[in-house]
Amino acid sequence: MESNNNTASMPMNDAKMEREARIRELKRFWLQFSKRPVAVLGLVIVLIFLVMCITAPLIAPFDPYESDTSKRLLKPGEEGHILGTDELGRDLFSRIIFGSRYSLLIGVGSVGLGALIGIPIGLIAGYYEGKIGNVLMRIMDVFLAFPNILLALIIVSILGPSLYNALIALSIWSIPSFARIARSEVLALKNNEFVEASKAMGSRDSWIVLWHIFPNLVSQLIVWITLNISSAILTGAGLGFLGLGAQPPSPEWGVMLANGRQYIMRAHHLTTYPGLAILFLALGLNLLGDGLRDTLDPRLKD
Amino acid sequence: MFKYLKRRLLMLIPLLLVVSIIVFSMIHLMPGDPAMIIAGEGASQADIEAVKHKHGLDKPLFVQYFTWLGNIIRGDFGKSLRTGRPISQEIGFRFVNTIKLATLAIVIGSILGLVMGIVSATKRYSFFDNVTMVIAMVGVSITPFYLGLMSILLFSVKLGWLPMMGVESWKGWILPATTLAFRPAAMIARMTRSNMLEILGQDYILSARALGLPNKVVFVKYALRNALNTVVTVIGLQLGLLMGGAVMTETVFSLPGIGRLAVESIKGRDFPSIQVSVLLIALSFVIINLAVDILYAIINPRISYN
Repeated sequence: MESNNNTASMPMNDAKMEREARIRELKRFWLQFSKRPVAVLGLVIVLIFLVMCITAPLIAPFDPYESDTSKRLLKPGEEGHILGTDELGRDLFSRIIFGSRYSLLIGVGSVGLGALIGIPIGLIAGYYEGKIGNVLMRIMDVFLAFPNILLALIIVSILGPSLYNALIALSIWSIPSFARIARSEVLALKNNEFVEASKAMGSRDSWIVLWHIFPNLVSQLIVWITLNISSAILTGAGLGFLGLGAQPPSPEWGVMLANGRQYIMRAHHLTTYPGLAILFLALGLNLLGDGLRDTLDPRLKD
Repeated sequence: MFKYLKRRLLMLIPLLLVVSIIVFSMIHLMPGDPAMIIAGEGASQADIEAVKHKHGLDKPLFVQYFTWLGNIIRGDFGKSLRTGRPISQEIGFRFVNTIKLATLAIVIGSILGLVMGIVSATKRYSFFDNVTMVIAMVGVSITPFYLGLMSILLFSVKLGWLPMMGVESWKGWILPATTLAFRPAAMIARMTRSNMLEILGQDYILSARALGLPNKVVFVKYALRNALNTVVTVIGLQLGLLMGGAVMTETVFSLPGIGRLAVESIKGRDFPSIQVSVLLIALSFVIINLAVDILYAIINPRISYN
């Protein structure tokens, strides 16, 4: 947990000590985190996918969109295609590499957007209990009552199927959970002495929430964000598979699976490998999330 | 208990009303004129006017809403824009199929998860425990559509044991139901394991053992009952994901259910069918949720009914 006593304006000396304390804190965190081999494995998997996503044009051996009908449905390893080719002769390995961009965009984008909207709502609802808080949380409850697929179906049928509309649907779905977490933490913290002290010194509400309460939330939010990105990626790929998310010819993993489904008898590599990519990325995020939770917040352990 | 049930049933009414309003508004929230959407692309102005009049789209919104709601309640869902047939004809068996799939998955998932979790907890750090926990970790990271495709590949294409699609015989249900059951089973196994470990270390278990009760009795009577709580909690929390999984499972196995109808209708811009299928998905979610809550109240005496 972060320290609670980072006050408003401090002399140079205090600021320096503060920074050193932060670094010590980080070091201690890494020491504990690196003791968990499974968590480190998760981190490594996620990093591999991140590198893949950033350097896709550099590492992909072929153009993911370029089709060559003379090379249709090649088996893995044939003619220099590590994972074979699809029904239009496009290189599967290159398409999977580029696919990481879609999945990470959907996962990080939707959860980021959800956090950006949900956390302030939760902070406000927690700090100002009473009417404002109640109204905000009742609205959140309505959203929470919908299964995410239903919300996605409704939004996609209004806006039309596309990658960005799927992203919007998923971010709306993640808003209420962030609001809930932020709110419950604010409720627990706002009657503490350090908040009272800051109030007595004449701090404004927004200052207290931002500089005294929010830092205490960070570790819990990091865990929730990691686990949420994993489920957003799974649902995003699911929408792609159903034809309600990213559209062909995008090399999105869900779209590739839906496409490969027709060839499962003759060329099952078209479904096996994109699916493995989804599985590994989600697994990496889940292992990382579990590891972070155990390190940062032992209270949350299931 | 009866009072609790009555209150829960009454609480459904406002929830379903909210859902119905959202579903009704969908067609009006879409860009463009609803009459134009229904008439289809390339319809003349006269066609659009005719559609407007026929569907009552020229009346005020709240009149339209109540007419629509009244029709739905009477079982008149309108006609599908794709097939031209009344939607009510194809909705019944689809609804039954979806509920059947979800129920089968919940039952299979609970039994599998419970057994895996309990054995893991009693044989902590054993080979079985490690394998189970790895499977469970994979289970929460795999999507039903990938799992479904891989099980088709293994059991239908390679081994030829089970059919790829079609639910005419009971064999056709095995793959879809276990595919959908995998994630809940994994979650339940993880939760049951950690819960059982906690419970088995409690004082009342120790004292029961100290009293000389046989291990089996301690296990079944004291520990298992608490584990059942976990199962019901997990199912309640996972129900939303299960519905999503059902939509994907239906698509993978070409199983005619409500989820698949919704997806096909969205792709075909068949608005009356979209509205009905979304409404029915919400309804089945609400029904299963209610059943889970009631079960929870029966299993867990600490919940007060007032």
